Amino acid sequence: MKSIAFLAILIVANFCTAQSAEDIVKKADQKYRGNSSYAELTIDIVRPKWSKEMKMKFWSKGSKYSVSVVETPAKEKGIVFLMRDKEVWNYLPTIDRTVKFPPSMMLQNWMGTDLTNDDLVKQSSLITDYNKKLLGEEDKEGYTCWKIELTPKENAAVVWGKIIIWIDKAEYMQMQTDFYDEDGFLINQMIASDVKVFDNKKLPSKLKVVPIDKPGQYTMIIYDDWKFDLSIPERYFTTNYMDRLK
Amino acid sequence: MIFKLAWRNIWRNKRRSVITLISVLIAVFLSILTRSMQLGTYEHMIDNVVGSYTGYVQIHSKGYWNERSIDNAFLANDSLMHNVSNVKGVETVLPRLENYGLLSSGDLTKVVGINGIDLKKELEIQDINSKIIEGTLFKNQNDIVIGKGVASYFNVGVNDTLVFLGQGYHGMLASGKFNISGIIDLKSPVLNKSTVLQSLQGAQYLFSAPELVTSLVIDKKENTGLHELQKAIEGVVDNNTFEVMNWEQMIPELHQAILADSVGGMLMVAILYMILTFGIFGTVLMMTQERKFEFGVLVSIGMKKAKLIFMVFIETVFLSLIGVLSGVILAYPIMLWKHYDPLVLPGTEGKMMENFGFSPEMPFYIQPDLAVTHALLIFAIAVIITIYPILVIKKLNPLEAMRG
Repeated sequence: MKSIAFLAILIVANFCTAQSAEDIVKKADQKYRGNSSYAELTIDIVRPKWSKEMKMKFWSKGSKYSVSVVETPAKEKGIVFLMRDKEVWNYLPTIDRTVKFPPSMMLQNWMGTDLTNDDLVKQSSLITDYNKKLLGEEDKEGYTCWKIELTPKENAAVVWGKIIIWIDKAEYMQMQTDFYDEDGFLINQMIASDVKVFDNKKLPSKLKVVPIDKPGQYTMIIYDDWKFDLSIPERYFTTNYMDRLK
Repeated sequence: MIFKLAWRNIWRNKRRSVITLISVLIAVFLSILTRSMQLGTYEHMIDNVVGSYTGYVQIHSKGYWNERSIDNAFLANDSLMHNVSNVKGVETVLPRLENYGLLSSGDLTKVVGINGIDLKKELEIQDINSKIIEGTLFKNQNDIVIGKGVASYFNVGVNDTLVFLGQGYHGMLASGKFNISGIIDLKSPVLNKSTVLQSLQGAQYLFSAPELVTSLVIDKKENTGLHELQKAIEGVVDNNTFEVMNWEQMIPELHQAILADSVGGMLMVAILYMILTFGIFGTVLMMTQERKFEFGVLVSIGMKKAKLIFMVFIETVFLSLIGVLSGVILAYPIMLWKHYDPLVLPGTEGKMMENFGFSPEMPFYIQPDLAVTHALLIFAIAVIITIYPILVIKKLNPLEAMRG
């Protein structure tokens, strides 16, 4: 009798420590998203013969609402992107107009970066649209990471054939993400680096997006400031407020 | 001596000579005139489309023509402009920045091409003002000139505002409100429906491509060979970063249409020449038979056959030369007249040409190479025909010939 009870305790304990891949991804996602977040970003777009720097402010609430406003360059100052659920709205101060991106524009590059408009709205997709499998452990940037393979669920409307994520075991930081197409070719890589403490959370402050088929080309996203769980007025995420957002 | 003999021989039988002469003359006259009309029309067409829009030769960043993305824009720096301008035969070099995007007014939206042009330089080679049907050319960066098809699509006029939205250099957002300063008729429905003109600086700012251009359009001096010019320009630019294209490569449709039509014209001329060949051959044949006795006498009194052959040859040369020259002299005044006061296609046919983007005028071609080619061709025919009397003289047996 005693031994059975002991066994039961052992089994339960085992369940507690070895989390499922599903939980790891969820936890990592929750970590950098928080209930709400505010960030100041610098985005460097690098092309073989050209490069550009942009500064933006970014607010988010849950996984469904986020809004960002361009600070520099001067020519693009005041451009606002609002993500509501699966919609992207764009406010352009030069023409004083709010435009909703049609589905045809969702796969176009966002502001000339290596991210597509679709990438911005499909942030929750990693959680809901994929089956996860723990492949093992690997070191990335000096952190021991879980290596997790994501394969799309049946009927999920996603473009990737496979995604591999490395999530740091101690802090749940998403250190690297590889995107493969349906034929198993590596298309995009997102590499995180330069871990810093933001608002008591350890998070990588640099994210480099590299399209594999375009040599000499990448986008570097740098978090200059990052705050979590602050109260953001509801109106920030409405189309009416876009022309006043600062 | 032989020349004198030949000359006299021609005028011994005036009627025969005159018939030969006139057949040569008419052939030269007609073939030069028809070809002159055709070639002139082609040149005019090319001038129309190529001269004012595409340019004879363009320089782009390598690969631009296949993938017309503004990402392939390049810096047209002074040394490049200078090198290209100094190539022999280059009239002007026009920088242009072209891109596509959405133009919108109210609920209407349309895809248009925006052409940023250097107005001052463009005005040097073409009279854009005469194509403006309403308003004026752009005066500042926020002014645009739209094609009349674009204007009627949006139902807008001068001083109305249109909104543009598109992608600039390397995916930069390009948006702006523009004031319509004028409406242009580019004489081509396709262009009218999709063209927006803007100042080069305005377009460079809009597309976040300062100092950059997508193409350098080169206008050639008259009488400069297209392919020689292309080669010469290729010689001064870096062929690893730039592509130099002529209009035949850029608008193969027009080039092929002209080739097809030209082959038809050449076929007509070929038929004319065939008739002419047999006409001359007929008279030469007659002449040879009639003069067999004479040839016999000449050979028997000791004239060398070679000299005799030479004399007959000179006769034909004289005859055809006179025919060719008088044909050219007769045709040229008409060509010149119709070059400077061209035929205009009347009625619906003229309208049709206008709809295709060509003006209905048909000026004649007056470059001397045409006359020279045809004169030489007919001359060659005459010379080939002399083979017959030569053969006859070679085989000539004086006794038999004189017996008749």
